[in-house]
Amino acid sequence: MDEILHLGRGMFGLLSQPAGVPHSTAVVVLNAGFIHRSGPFRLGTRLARALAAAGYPALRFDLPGIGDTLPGADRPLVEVVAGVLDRLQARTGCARVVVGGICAAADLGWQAALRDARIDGVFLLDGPARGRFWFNLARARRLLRKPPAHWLAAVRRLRAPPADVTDAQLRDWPARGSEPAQLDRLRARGVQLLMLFTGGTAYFLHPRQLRATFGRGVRSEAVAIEYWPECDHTYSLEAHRQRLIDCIGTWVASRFPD
Amino acid sequence: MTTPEPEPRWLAAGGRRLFSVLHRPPAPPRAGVLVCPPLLNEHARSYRLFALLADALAAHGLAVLRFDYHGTGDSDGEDADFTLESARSDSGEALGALRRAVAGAPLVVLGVRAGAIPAIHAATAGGAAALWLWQPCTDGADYLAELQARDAARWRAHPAGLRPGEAQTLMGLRCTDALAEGLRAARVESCVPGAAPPVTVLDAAGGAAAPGPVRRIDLAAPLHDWIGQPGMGRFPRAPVHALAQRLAATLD
Repeated sequence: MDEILHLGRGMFGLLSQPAGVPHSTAVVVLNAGFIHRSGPFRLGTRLARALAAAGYPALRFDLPGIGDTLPGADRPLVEVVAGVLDRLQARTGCARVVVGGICAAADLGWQAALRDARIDGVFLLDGPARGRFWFNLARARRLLRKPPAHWLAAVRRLRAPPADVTDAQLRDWPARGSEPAQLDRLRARGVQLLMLFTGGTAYFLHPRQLRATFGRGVRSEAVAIEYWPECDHTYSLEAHRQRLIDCIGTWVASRFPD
Repeated sequence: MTTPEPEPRWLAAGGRRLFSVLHRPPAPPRAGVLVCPPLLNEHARSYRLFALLADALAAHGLAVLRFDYHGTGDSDGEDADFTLESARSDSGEALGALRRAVAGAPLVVLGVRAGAIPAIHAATAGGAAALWLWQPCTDGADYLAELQARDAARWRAHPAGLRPGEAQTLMGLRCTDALAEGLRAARVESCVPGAAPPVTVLDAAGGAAAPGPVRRIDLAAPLHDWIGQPGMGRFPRAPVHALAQRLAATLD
């Protein structure tokens, strides 16, 4: 059952509460870009309710400047998240929190986990990834599997001037090169991570990009990796949405059984 | 003028819970406005726009109630529960809740796109003083065909090369047989059980003509071109505030 949770400073959220005794871990689903808290194709609402049905209180809310939160941000978003966690913990009593979401939500979840020791898990859906060499290799392999008629067009694209703006600039990714040390900090604290990439990004095609971005730590047991090239960025198909809800539910249940 | 913080609340609608947000003006309201949101993907796409508009109307002395139909957004229910009939019923319940909240002030119903269909029903059945129709789709069959064409174009251009292959979905959301049949059968004439209140149509300059004598307000580009855009837009506040001022003036 959902309840309204007031979060202060003009913000509120919808807290999906378990019917029975809740686990000691709560989940926060962050905004996917500018989409309000219900998420693309209502994915946020359904994910939160599925997690609650499995015993995990799950909160969705709008960050400043999105959806129902009318004012823009007057402080860093990681501080906004910290304030939200205060209210969430006061309401649920949950000692541990998992945060995450799609795209910008993954970026913010990563930053929030670095700042806030209450965050014990992050699910990053199309989160940061660099490793241009591996990306280009995978793209070349994919191109070679296509008929030669596609090759000429690809060469034209390669010869075109580079894009002015990269994904890293549009998003709020960590400073280049800082990712391995940041991941090590999170792992040292016992933070669990789910990194799931879809075929809907313009920057991820090869799993080795993760090693190139995050270093050897990405192979640790704390990091679960999924690559779903058949899915798009916002899970346009119902079957993909259900698969994602099941995947996150299984990951939360296995990593946070208490 | 600073408006009070919006009040999120649950509405009881025939044993179902609808999520809603009430925007109150700083002083006792001179009218109450119910927003019947658009359907399917257009609901999420326009959510921010109507949150901003509600706040701006509140600054002009109007109380505004926004809500999600059963089976949509944050309201209870599964995606497959949403039908046009339930949307009509929900709109009537929401108008009743607004009436209680504004204590005797006149009521206005704003229907957005195909939300015009339940809005017209609620306004006429509920005795609203005015009806505002935003880029209205008052012929459900036309609307369904428009969305189907847009859906087909979306899949053709899909960057990940996906193909739909899923029955009963439209623009990525569930569109059950019941919803599709309800839309095909919906016409403005069949939605109006009694005499309609005065109508104001808001649309792009040169937009579709509305039935009957109506007042017309042209929408600035950021307020009307969100429908066909692929991404989630951001809405500038200045045209929203200007529009709120014009709408409020229609009630003087």
